Amino acid sequence: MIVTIASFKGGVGKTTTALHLAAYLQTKAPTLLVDGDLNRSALDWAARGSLPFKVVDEKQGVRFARDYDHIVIDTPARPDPDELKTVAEGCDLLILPSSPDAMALTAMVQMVEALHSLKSNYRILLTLIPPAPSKVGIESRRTIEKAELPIFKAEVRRLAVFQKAALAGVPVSAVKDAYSKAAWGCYAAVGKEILP
Amino acid sequence: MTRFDNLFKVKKLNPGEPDLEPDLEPALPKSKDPNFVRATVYLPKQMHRDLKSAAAQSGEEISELVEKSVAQYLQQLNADKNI
Repeated sequence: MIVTIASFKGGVGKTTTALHLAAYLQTKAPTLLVDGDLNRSALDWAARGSLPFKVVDEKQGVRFARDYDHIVIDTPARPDPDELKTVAEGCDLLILPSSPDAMALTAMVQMVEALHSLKSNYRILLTLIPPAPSKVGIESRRTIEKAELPIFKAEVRRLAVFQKAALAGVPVSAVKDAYSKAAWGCYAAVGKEILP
Repeated sequence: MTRFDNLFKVKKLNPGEPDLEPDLEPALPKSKDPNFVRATVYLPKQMHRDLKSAAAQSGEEISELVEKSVAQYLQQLNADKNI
């Protein structure tokens, strides 16, 4: 299965999502994470510590792709239209992460519009959901559901442990932190919706 | 053609099908290839002109034509020595 993570806006949790879904899929079958973002954030993450799956750039990916059952592709923010077409139509599932704020949601809607003319199976993932009493998470979900756009039931909370994991170069499940289980649980739930 | 084309192409291959042609990476230009050196030589003007036109007609680079001729010359030289 090929899963691609894309968004027009940066900082909405693309790399975090790519990395943790790769970690989830790795528990099912050998998984390759292709870091297609020119910032190489996922490769940096991997270089700082150890991840339970292989991370390569898109050039090396060509060499390794056949040996892995699942491929997760992280893409740059603001992909150019040709690139978007290739990744959107080439993958089995396109995930559009978006944080529940006006700017990210606007960018996400732009992305959905760009996808209209393409044959693509996409789903929106709400990320960086702030804790109660903030209601922006549930409000954003309602808005998206009212627009009848496909959205994951699971959502990803805004937790400091994700930053700790990035710094340590490990998935969030490997960080010693009171919230590491809760954080991993978010992505495990997303993973289960993709591949039970 | 985008950075991701070959990645998806590879994944669509069936088991047993050969890998993609290894020419995916563009060949190193001679100016950056450590196996080549750049040399400056002086040729009569007319010879350079003829060489240039020969290269244009055959679609090869002057470098390639010179390389071939020099290789031939060196081979001949060695053959003569061994007699």
